[in-house]
Amino acid sequence: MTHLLAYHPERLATLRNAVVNAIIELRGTTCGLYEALPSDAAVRRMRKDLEVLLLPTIDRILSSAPLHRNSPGVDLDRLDQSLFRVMSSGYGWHLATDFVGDDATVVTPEEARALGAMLNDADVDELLNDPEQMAWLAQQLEIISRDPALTAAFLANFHDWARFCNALGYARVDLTVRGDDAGAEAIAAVARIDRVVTALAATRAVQLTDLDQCTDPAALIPQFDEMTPYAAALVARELSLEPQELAAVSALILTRWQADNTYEYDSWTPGPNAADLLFEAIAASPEAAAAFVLYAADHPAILFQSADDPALAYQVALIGTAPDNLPTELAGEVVITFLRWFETSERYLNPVDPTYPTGWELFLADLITPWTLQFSPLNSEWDDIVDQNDTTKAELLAFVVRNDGALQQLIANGPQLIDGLVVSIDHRDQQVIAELVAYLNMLSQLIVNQRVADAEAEAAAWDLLLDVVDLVAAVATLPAGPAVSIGTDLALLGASGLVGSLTDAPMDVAAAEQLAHEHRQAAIGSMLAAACFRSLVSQGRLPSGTPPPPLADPDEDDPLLTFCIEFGVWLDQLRAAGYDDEAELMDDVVGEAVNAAMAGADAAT
Amino acid sequence: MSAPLSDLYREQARTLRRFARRIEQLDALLLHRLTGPDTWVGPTPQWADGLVRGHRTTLLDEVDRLRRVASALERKAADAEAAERATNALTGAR
Repeated sequence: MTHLLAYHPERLATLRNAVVNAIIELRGTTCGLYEALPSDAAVRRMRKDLEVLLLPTIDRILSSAPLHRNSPGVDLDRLDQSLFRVMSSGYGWHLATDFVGDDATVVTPEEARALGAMLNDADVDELLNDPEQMAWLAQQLEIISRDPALTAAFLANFHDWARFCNALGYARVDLTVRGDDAGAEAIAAVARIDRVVTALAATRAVQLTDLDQCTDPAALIPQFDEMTPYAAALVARELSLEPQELAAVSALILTRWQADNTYEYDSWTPGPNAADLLFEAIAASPEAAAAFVLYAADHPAILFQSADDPALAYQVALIGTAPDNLPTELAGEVVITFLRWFETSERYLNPVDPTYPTGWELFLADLITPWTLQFSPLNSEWDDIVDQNDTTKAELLAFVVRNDGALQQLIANGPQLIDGLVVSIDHRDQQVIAELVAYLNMLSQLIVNQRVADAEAEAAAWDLLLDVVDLVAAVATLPAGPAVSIGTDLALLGASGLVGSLTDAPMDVAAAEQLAHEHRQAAIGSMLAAACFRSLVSQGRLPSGTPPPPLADPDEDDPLLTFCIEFGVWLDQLRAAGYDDEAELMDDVVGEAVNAAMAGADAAT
Repeated sequence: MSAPLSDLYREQARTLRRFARRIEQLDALLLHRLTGPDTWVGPTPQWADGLVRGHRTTLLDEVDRLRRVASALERKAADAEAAERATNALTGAR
């Protein structure tokens, strides 16, 4: 292809005359003094360059017949010829061959203006089929976006964002159809589109730097009303928006997308759609995710019925509702709303439907993992939220773990679950201990009710239960502070034999269920007593030679009653030895376990 | 009898200042007004504009340098004149 230059014939002729006069003028300019030798040399160099380089160049241009758009080697429709097309077609300038190739790393304001004008009418399909032009365009836009003056020049002429971005969006949807074998060429083509959109959006971002926080997509995205949600999503995620802005804009884009997505290409083409694009960006910012789930609490469908890949929606929900990102009360509003939405949405009610979504049960287990304490019967932090509806916390919890895998997921999330408990304990008093003990009973009841699937899962369930026992004992016996573990394990407690008493207890009939409750109360009370005792001994509050508290015996006819009697005797011995405070403490904790057992169990039933 | 050294320095300084002013007033230094994108655009015009502006900068730098040298010569002239006065006073005293 011929390299071009464009010129104004009369002005170039004027330049030629000026150059000739300058050569004459410079020829007569000399000093001769030794001190002026460098100046003489500089004058000579300029004269020589004008005479040998510039004047012949101008003469060659002026003496050649001008080129036209149909001249051999001239293709003014190419985007990289924008400047020459604009100058020749728009301003009547002449074209000539330029023997110097264009340096694509340099963009002049004229080139930026011309590119903006040409992009309005560019044949996007042709552009997409020309990787070289796409790369060139991306490079030019990147250079332009780094310079406010060039950006201003470009945007002064580029207006048709919707047509251009929509076309790129349609092409991108086609290139990312799920099920198609995404070859290297398709991947490269998507990368080229993304690079162009990123650079184009960067030019807009330059304009937005002076704008205060804004959540109106129409103010942020040019021609928003004419842009498809997919194209708007492509642009929005590259605008370097503040997290709050990204969340608000995404919510509005998706609300509009859902309002008329029957007509949206990406909504019925399998593969990433507008929501997938936005969720990827939102998930990268915890602050944006937290802001977005608050919007989604008003319209959960924009989160859960939008993305082609539900895992992305789940990721946004989990990040957004994490304790680090959302305060307890707001998290409660969001989590409870989401649970109710899943509980009542038709698409989740019919498992035999071929379109029945999968994976959401485990997601709900993940969703409540950091907030399980709030489902405990004695915890009231979310009561106001739940009370706005007939559904109780217990019913919502039962809904979450009704699936076999969900409870196992909850158990597998043990470390995060414990972290959530620790975050939720903002002070230490008898009320907190009562809440935790009730929680412990609720958890044990869930484990027993759901009958965890195999030995490995059962061991994990016990590990989790022990972690909670450890936490309760730590809260009860350690001074207030960051330490929230006393390193409890079954072997140290000498309580391994109690494990079977929980899972083996008969559950089929009401009488047997009552017996199971008593087994569980005895076991949990027994483990708590052992854990607290061990903590007090390790702190030196009880002498190391002190006999340990009794362990419940699952083989007893009435293990709970036997344990309570033996534990009472043990406490009396402690008091008699002068350890009234420690005896009181243990009595309170174990008493809570025994008394709260029924309350926690009810919540989990 | 040859001219005093101070006169020689002053003459050189005057010559350099004249030359600086001459360069400063060259029409060639106004060429850049015609080599920009109002006249032509493209790689060669960009090169030509850069060429002309580069020479202009160099010549204007030379103008500054010539004036600095002229000032230095004028200081030397003043020093030489003072030395000559001192010599004459010494000779007269004898």
